[in-house]
Amino acid sequence: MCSVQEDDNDVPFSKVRPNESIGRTCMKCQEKAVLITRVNDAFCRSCFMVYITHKFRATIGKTKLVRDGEMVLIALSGGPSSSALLHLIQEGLSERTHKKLRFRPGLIFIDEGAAVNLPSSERLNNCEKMLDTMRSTGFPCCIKALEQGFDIDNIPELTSPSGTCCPGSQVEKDLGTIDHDTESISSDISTATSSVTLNMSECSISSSMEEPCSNSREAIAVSSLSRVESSFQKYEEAEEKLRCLLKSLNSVSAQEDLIRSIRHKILSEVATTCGYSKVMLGSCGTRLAVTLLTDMAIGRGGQAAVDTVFADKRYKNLMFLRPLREFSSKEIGMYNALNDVESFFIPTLTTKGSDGASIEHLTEAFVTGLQRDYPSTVSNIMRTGEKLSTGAEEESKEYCAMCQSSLDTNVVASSALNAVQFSQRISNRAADSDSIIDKSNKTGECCGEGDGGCNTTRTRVTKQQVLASLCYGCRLAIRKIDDVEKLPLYVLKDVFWRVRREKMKSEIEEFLLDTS
Amino acid sequence: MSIPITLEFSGGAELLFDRQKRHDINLPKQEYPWRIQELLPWIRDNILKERPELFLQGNTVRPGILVLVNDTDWELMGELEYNLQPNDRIIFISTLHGG
Amino acid sequence: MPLKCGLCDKQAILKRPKTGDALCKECFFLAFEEEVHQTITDANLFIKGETVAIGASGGKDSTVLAYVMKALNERYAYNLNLVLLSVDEGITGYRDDSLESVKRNEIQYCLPLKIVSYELYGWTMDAIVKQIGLKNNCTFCGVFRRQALDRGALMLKVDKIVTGHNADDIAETVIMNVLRGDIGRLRRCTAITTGTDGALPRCKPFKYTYEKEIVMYAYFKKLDYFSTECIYSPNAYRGFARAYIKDLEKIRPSAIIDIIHSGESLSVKKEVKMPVQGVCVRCGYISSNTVCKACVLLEGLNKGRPRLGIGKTHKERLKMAEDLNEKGDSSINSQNFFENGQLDSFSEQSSQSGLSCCRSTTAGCSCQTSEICNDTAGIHSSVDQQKINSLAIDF
Repeated sequence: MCSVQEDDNDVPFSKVRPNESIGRTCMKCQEKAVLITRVNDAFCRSCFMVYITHKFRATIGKTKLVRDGEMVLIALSGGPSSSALLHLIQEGLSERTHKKLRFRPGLIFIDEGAAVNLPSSERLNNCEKMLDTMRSTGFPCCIKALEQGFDIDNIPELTSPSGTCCPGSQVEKDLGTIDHDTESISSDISTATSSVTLNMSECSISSSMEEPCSNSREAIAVSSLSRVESSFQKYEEAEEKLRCLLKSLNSVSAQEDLIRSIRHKILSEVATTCGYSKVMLGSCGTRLAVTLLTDMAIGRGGQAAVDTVFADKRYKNLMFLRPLREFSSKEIGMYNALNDVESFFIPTLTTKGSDGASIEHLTEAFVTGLQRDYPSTVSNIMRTGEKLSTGAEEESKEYCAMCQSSLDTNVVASSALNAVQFSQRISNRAADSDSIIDKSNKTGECCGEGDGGCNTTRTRVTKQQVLASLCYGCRLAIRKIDDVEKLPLYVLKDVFWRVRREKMKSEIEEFLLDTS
Repeated sequence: MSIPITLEFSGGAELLFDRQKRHDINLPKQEYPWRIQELLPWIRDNILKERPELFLQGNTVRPGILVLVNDTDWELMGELEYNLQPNDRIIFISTLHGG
Repeated sequence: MPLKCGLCDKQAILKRPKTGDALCKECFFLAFEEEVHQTITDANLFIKGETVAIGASGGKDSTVLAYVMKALNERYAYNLNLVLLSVDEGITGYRDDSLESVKRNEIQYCLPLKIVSYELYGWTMDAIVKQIGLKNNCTFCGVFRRQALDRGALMLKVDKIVTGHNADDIAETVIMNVLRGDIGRLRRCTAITTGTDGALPRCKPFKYTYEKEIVMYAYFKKLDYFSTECIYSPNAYRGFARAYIKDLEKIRPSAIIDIIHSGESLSVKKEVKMPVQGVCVRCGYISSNTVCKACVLLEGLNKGRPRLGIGKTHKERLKMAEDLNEKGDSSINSQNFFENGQLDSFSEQSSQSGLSCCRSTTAGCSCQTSEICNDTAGIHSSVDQQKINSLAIDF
């Protein structure tokens, strides 16, 4: 049957025919054009460069969020966008530049090889290449591995003013930050902290520093190659945990989702422990449009705005910035090609996969396909995002224990969430999966992971308790997990803390006076 | 007379070509001028190693693969209709995440 | 070994697309119906004693909707007065056939049926396509159908319309509105009830029901429905969104409901201006513009400029509004088109139903449609007045 609706006719304009573009001249200076950008603007090489640099500085400048001398952590993946970002920053900081950028960058590369089962030789090779690139800039830098997310400890009740807490004082010192004097917080609450901290400081790539520029006092954290190599051996345990968790999720889409959340966790950890108040991400507009649509498809509509906005203020006292959000992947590709910016290829979970390999992968194929025929697709999607509220105005909302977004699970009776839960209840005797009690629930023992030496006295949390602390999207991601103890410690601790707080609250409830 | 041209694949597109980024090739002589339209199936049949659907879609490149002709956006050169010249340098850059 | 029903140990006959649970036929029927009931009660869709028109196209969604609404109305004593309401777009070889199946439903379910024709506008879709060709014809159809349904419902004096829009349709619309950057519609499209602001409320009891399950339900219940695609080419852009949803569903079946959750949890920035819903100065239909889409399209058809109103030709629409304003407000009564004498002739023609809701309209109504139209920009000037007055009588 026909599903056309009243308002279907308002569709974007389709592309102009290719032969109308042959031999066009630059829209600014009438020189011979080298590319067509946006919907139908032709640029010559030099005008394109001016256009890109201007757009980049304007994106950063107009918000006035980055202060002079502020320490900004630049997240590099090795891919084209973050490589272009690094190049643009270097250009912007150079003395000859007219409107000079004035922040102080530090670089981080997160090696995600473990997640895609890359052989360690290849991971080492990637790290070496990245290290070369990062060192050549003279900026402080460090390399982390995705599995290190499993060694991050999180103790919300001891949350320092910075909002997140650090793995341990040792690491901080090693990273050599100045003006950052957070006290060690690995004290009484969790006895597990000490062992994890030790683990972390031993393994940390950043624990061995070089100072490439002698005059640079601050935060020069460059690892030596030998340390990079040895670190692979050291992380075996965490690596195993990561693989084990990813495997139990049973879906590439869920794996991608979880990797994204662990990656952000590591970035925020490193940034706060090393005294960075901003993190810059290299995601370009095309990428963010894919993210926005993917968010819609994986039940993260409520977070779509915060995931794509220029300044993501989800974490307290730390801001994630996306200065390339106005750029298309084509512009990035052209910029890199015309400036000989080297990026190198690092495979992802869906590399060489078919379109249906994951939701994100499908969405990317969908958006790029549509973009070809309707060149305003990406900007339309981004326009949608700009009109959505990031929820930043609302203070102290409950947040997800895994991705730190505001919880979107407190819904009215008539809602998709309730409809799903009702469906599960009514067509399955075992009741809805959300209330399945973790069968392996034991209390007061070691978590049983790894060598049993973690000494945690943390009570195990049930799947139900974990799910209750997560947003809709994170619930979806771990839906298939067989044992919630496979989740990173920082998630479990957060959940545990919530459970305890609830318990405490119910214990003292009768003594509380109802003032309302 | 054959036409010598240089092909380059990057951004992950090289994975489909045995990770070899640069290919110097000679297009065999033919009656009509070589256009990119004919180059694409030639690439598929002669140097592409696997998964043609990740490089081509229909008669053109898969969306998300950027094509440069001598450092110029192919959209300004007539796209598929462009007539290849000796010593042209054609670059295929995948802008897709993970190649 | 055959799978057993997860609820009753009988042999399962299907795996629910929505949850993946294996169920037997009876348990599936029950789960399907209970979910719709849950949707209806959670959202307080109806009040006892209301007259509710079921928008019936003869297709699977509305056929199953009519069947389930009737069943639930009896099982849970909603005390609703249900009627079937169809729109005849005038598409030979498609709508005439599907209307046959609606007419069979009328008898099978013992529900009174009302049919409103596009003749209301003086144009059948066949005639429209003849003039504008196969491109953009869906624009006319979508706009006219919605209004025709509303007008039919007003004539029947119903309290609400229910439509067969299912979860897939809503997810698709969410995605489309994201792609178009249309924040106003994006916000509205996940609402289970729309049109509460003045016009007739429309609800979607199948908001959380998967299309696949509707097909399965119709199949196992052996419901009589019409499943041919429209002979005119469908809107390509919606087709993209549809294909995307179907591909998503293959990867993760819950994606459809996940998108609806996403849509429901969006909040729009306070500073973003939302289009204000007003009424069309010409016909009185709700519209966010001075002149509603249907009037612009109709104007184009009648003036031999059918492309008017297609795409973003706001200029034309503004000009039309200006013309209208210049020609004096006195003749413009926004309610006229909706409550005019045509209803009398209409109700006389109503099928055997003997609808209680079909009482004759406001006695004092001054049917001035023709005057308004002729006085102003001549919107209906080429429309045979007889046609307007006879509305849906051609059956």
